[in-house]
Amino acid sequence: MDTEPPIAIEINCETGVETARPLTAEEQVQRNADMSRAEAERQAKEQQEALELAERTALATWIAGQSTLPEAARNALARATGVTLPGGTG
Amino acid sequence: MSGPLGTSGGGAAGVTSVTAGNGITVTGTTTPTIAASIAAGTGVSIAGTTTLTVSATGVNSVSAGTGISVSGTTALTVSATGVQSLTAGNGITVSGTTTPTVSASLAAGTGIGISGTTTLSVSNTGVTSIVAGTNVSVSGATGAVTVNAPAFATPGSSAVGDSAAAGTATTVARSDHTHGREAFATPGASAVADTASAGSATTVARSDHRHSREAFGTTITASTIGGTAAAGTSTGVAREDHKHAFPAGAAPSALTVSSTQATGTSASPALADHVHAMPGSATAGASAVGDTAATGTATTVALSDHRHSREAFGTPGAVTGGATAASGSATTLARSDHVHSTASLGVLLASTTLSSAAASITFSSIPQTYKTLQVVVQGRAAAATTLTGVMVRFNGDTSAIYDNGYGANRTDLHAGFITGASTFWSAATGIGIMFIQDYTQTIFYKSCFSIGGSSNNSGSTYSHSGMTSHGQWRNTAAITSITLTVESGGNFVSGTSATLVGS
Repeated sequence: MDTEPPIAIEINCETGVETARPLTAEEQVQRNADMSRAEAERQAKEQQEALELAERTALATWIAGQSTLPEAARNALARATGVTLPGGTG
Repeated sequence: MSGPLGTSGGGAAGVTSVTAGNGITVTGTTTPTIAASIAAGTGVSIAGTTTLTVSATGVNSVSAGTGISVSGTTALTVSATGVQSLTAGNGITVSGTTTPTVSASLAAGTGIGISGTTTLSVSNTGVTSIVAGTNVSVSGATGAVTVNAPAFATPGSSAVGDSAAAGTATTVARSDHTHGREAFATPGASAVADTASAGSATTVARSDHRHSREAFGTTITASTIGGTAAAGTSTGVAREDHKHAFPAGAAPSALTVSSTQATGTSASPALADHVHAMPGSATAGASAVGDTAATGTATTVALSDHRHSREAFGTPGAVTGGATAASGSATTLARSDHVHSTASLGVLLASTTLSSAAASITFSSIPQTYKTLQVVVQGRAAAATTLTGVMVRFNGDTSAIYDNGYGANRTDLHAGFITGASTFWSAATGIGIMFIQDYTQTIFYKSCFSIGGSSNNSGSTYSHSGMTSHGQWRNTAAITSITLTVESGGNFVSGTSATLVGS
C-alpha cells in the first residue's frame, strides 16, 4: 500500500521546467483502473504459473514413474520437456 | 336813572323792580334811588361828585436806563442792552449766570513763593544774593549788582610740537583770539626707496603741499624668452601703462607620428591659439580574428571614430556524432546566440530524479526535430511486490489501442521493470529502456521496443526477471508527450530517475 500522496511530475522538454502537481480526478480514476487491472493480471499470472507448475510437477512425476525406461532415458525426457525430476535431475 | 318808573306806560305796567349790579346800590321801592360807589386804588385818584374824575397818580411814564431800552406805549417792552454774559480770560474762571463769580488763578514759578487768600503775597525764594568768585568782581550782594569778568589779553604764540599747559594768566581770551603760529615752508623732494624721517623743520606743510618726485623712465628694456629676473638700478619709475617689448610669435613646427618631446631653442613664444600641423587621417585597414599584433608603419593617424572592417558572421555548422575537435578554418565569426544543429546527435532532452514519491512522470513538449526517442527509467516502486512494470502512454491517450507481448487492446505499454518494496534488498533497482523510431511521422502506427529487468528475490538469494517486448500504439499522430506510471498503480519512490534522449 502506497503511503505517498499521488503526485504527477511533468518536465517540459522545451523549457526544462519541472513541475509537480496532485493527480487530477480523471488521472486518479485512471490510476485506480490501472491498479485493478494490474491486480487482475497478477492474479491471472499467478494462476497460470501455478497451473504450469502443477503440470510440470505432474509431468516430472509421470516421467520419474516410467520405471520401464532406463534412467538415462527418463533424464533425457525431463531435459527435453524442461522439468526437474524429483531428486534434482532434469 | 332819574325819571319815575312806568311813566311811559301809564300805570304799573312798566318797571316793577330794580336790582343793583356790581358797584351799584338801590334804595326805595316806589321811587328807588340808585347810587354808584367807586373807590380809588393804588396810583389812582377820584374826584367830583356829579361828574367823577379819575386820575392816575402812580407811574405815568417809563424811561430806559444804561443798558436798558423801552419800546411801546400801551404794552411796554423793556430790554437789556448792556452786559449779558461773561467770558473767562487767561488765568480767570467765571462761574454762575445771574450773579457770576469771576476768579483769578495764580501759581508760583521756580524761585517764587505765593501766600495769602484775599491779599496774595509773591516772594523770591531763589537767588537772594551774589558773591564774587576768583578773578570776578561784584559791586553788591543784592539789588542791582554789577559782575565784572577778568580783562582780555593778547594770546601767546603756538607751534607744532608744543606741550599742553594750564597757564597762569589772570586774563581771559576773546572768542576771536588768535595764537601766533609757525610759518609754511616749501616741502623737499621725495624719491622711491627714501627712508622714513620725522624731520626737524619748524615750519609746517600746507594741505596742498606737494613733494617733488623722480621722473618716469623713458628707456624700457625688452623681455626675452628665458630672460633672467633683475631688480634693476634705474631711478626712474614705470608708468601704469608701460609695456616691455616681447618676442613675437612664430609658426609652430609640424608634429609627426612618434615625435619626441623637445624643449626647443626658438626665441619666439607660442601664441595661445597656435596650432601644430598634425599627420592626416587615413582609412583603417581590415582586422580579423587571428591577426598578429603589429606596430604599423603608417605616417597617418586614426580618428577616434575610426572603424576597422571585420570579418562577417557565418552560419554554424552541424555537430555530427564522432566528430573530432578542430580549431576550424572559417574566416567568419559566430554570433553569441548561434546554435549548432545536433539533429544527428543523441541529445538529452529531459531528465529527472525524484526527490519524493510520484505517481507519474511526464515528458511534455517533446521537440519534433529528432528521428528516435529513447526513454530510460531506473528505480523502485512502492508497491508491495518484488517487481512491477514501468508503463508508458503517449500523448496522454488512455484508450485501449496499445498492443504488446503482454496482450492486445491494452491501455499502456511496458517500458521495463522496476523493483518493488517486497524485494529483499531495499537498495535494489530495476531498469527499463524503450526505443521509439520515427516518433514524428504521421503515416504509420507508432512502433517501439522495450528491454528491461529487475531483481525479484524476496530472500537473500539473487533472482531476477527480464523482459523484451515489442509494442505499438495504434495511432498515427506524432508523439509530443510520454507519461510513465507504475504498472501496479502505485508510486515511483524517491530516487527513481527517468531520462528522455532524442537522436
